[in-house]
Amino acid sequence: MLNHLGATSALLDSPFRMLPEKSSNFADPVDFAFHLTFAICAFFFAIIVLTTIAFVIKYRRKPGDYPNPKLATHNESLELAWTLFPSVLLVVIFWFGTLPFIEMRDLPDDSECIVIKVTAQQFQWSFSYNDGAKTSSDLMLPVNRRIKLVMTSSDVLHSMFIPNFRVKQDVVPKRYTFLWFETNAEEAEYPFYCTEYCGQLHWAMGSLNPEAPAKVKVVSLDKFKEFLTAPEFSADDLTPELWEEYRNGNLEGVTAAFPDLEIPDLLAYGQKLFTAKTCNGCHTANSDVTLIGPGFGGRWGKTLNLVGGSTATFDEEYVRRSILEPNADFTTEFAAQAPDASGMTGAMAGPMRPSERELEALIEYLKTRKAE
Amino acid sequence: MEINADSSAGVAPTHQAEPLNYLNHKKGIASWLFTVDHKRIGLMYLALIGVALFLGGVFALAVRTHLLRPSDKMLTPEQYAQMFTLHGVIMIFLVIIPGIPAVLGNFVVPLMLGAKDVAFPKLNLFSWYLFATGVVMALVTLFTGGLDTGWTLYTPYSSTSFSNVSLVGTAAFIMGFSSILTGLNMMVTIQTMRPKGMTIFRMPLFLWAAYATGIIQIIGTPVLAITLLLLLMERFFRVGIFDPAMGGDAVLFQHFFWFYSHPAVYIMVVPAFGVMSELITVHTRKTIFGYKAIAYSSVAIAILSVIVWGHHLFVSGQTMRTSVIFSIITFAVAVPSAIKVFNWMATLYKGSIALTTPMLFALSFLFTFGIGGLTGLFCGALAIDVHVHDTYFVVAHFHYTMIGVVMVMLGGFYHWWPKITGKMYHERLGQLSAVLVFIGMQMTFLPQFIMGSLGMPRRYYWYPDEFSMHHHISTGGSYILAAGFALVAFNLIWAIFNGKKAPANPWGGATMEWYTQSPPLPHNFDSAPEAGDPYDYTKVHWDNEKKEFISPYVQ
Ligand code: HEC
Ligand SMILES: [Cu+2]
Ligand SMILES: [Cu+2]
Repeated sequence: MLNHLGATSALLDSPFRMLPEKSSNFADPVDFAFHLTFAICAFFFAIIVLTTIAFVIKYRRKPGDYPNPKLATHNESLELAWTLFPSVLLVVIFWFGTLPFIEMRDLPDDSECIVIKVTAQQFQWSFSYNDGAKTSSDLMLPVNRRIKLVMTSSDVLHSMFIPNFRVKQDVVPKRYTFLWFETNAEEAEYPFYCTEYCGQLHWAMGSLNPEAPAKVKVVSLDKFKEFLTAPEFSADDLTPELWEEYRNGNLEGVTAAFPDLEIPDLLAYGQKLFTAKTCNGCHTANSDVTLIGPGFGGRWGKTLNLVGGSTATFDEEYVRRSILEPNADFTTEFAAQAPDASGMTGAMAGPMRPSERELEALIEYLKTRKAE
Repeated sequence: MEINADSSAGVAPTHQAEPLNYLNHKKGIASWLFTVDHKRIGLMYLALIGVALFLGGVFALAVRTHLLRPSDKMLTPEQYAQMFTLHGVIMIFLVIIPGIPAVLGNFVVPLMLGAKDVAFPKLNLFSWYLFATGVVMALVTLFTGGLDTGWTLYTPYSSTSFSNVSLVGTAAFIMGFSSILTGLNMMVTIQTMRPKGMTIFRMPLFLWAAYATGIIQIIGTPVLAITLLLLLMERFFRVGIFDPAMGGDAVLFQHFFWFYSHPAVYIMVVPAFGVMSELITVHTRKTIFGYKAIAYSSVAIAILSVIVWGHHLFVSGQTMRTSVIFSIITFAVAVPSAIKVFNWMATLYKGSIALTTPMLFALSFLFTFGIGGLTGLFCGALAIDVHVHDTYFVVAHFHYTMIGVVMVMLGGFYHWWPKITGKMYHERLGQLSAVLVFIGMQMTFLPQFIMGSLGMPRRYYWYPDEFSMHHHISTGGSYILAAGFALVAFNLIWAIFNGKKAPANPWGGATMEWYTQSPPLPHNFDSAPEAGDPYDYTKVHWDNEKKEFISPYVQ
């Protein structure tokens, strides 16, 4: 029955589009509930407006006429009717609103679906597949599959919203929340957003990020498998000789040694790491705007005032120490966080801590940043 | 008219020998700041609320103007977050919550009761000072770090934000007490000071609404106070209550917050229902249809409103069963609200409808609140809410209800302005202001429903191109809306200086505030009038020679 009525809502869809394209198993029942509610509301609204306007026209006061009417104060059967009739329709709306919701909250077993771990942080999403074997900042999905997202946040509340899939779920620190859905047969890209206010760059978390807009990418199963298994360039895989060549700007040897990899130069590698290591969650690269930590646009070579009265230059040595020992120095802008409240300490303690070679690439990147 | 001038040592005999009234019987700023007269206190609330409404409006315009072309970066992301947060905080805590209960409630309730003042006049003044303290603190926030958390103050962002959450929290805490005490004062006043002949079913519906509002204020507001206190403890003493990093529970805050803030919606809406009932009957000269249904539905809403907070948490991680239960109760609240709307419509039937400014605002409310209420059904239906939650759809939905309330509030100001100031406002300008507010409102928020259901999230500094048209229309509408508000302010202030002198009963109302002169005596009535049916217009006659209404007990 739902399917049959779904066709009706498709009709409603075309000229007065109120909902985005339907791209998951939940889109049909949700849209049906939406259009049904819309129809019922439009009906009541029409009654209210038309009756009121008719009364206002018909019973408009004539100038200077002040009648002393003694009229009906109530009418029980009328009142009963306008209590019961809307109540019945409310039950209908409730019913069609609840059915798909129960399904949304009825999570499939891990064995029946592809499980993707989602970590949210100010102001970035990261997706991890196959128990962390692969990560990405786009949400990669195969077509026609049942997907389960297991989500958590490493700082404040966020919320995962994919309009085309009609799904949304808050992401809570120190807790897991879940979403599941089935993708459609088409390969396509969709936007997704954070919909729980999480800070001043809340809007930049997801598809509206001005530097690196993330997308939901639904691809064929083959492409998905390819994505999962595609090896990635890592400077730590290079032999000392090759690394020496690479850091001096000679990519030939590396390209020959890893023929099926795309090899970025040191600067591009640094840029990639800036996102991959989640630095961009707390720092802007190309401006001097402070998010959680300072922005790096135009910072290179500047003299910084440190807590305690000394000064330091923003150079290789300083950056290296700031990353490896975030508590070592505090500039006066961050005096409030000294001696050990730095947001970076936690972030740099785990797998995000850059290796020596990665550090060098990051420094190369920070060196060249200008304020927009 | 006999006037007892004993207590008023500083009686100022005015140039035109204007009859003594509550405005001219004492002069000077001290006579206002230390007054215990409910009428003056009502006006002092109005002064603060007017300033707040102006600021809140400016912030809203800043947000809308930025969204005209976000790529111009008129505001930085930080300023943008500050603007929408302060807009929300100010409009809710400083304007709409106190608007009708504190201004019109204070001014009108004792008059409607034929009483000399509220039950606890000094407590009433104290409430005003609490409120004023809160307002000043909120304004200080503007210059001391601001607030960037959204008015909802969700943890753990608010536990750690560098903006001035603590000051705003304290301000809201203090204002909460003002709200509780005002609610209490109104309830006791209505309970104990009804005149001879006013049984509870002969109370004007505004009194029912004021009473029901008092109930919600007393049940709900303490929970807000507790919540804010806990938040402050977390920020100052790092007691882990809401912040998981300190061992707290982030979602707990939302339960506490909405346990107050959903009822707060009805602290705003129920008084508006009351005003609406008065406006509709007086300006149609017809007894209200379904008095008991309207009265009972106010109380039903007041009670149900305390157990629906979970509908704000459908996507928070709350269990499925809990959500289903909250959805059911939420749909249940829709019924009494619908009943009221039908009753007001039936009141129009065979009435004598005068399209005065208050009536235009009342009709605007009927349409606007109608849309606000009906779109609430989308938000209450679980699966639909999952899609529209935290999008512009919800923004539009609650602005339809909230600005609906503001419309009635403005209608109420116009309606009682002759009583309050003794002067008539400019009718044509008033009608124009009502039309501007109505058109501006629809133009601002109708497109927001559409972009919301198409997937535009709220509190966004930026938006995808596909929503440019919606945003442009919306911003255009907001300017019209602002012009409408400005015209209302202009008209009301103009009336004070240039308005025609108001008769005691300009509209032919049958409730008791129209039995005393305009503006009323300092002590309201010389002798307590006797109450009858508050909506019996057969006893209020139009005198064609004097060109005014004659009420049975005019003093
Ligand atoms: C959780 C937030 C967070 C993350 C993630 C983060 N940082 Fe920081 N960072 C900070 C804060 C806060 C400061 C300032 C306080 C301090 O000096 O420790 C800072 C300071 C710095 C400084 C010193 C800046 C100065 O002028 O004092 C550098 C360099 C730096 N971070 C680089 C990085 C790099 C590179 C990454 C990614 C590998 C990174 N940060 C990830 C929060 C973060
Ligand atoms: Cu977020
Ligand atoms: Cu609510």
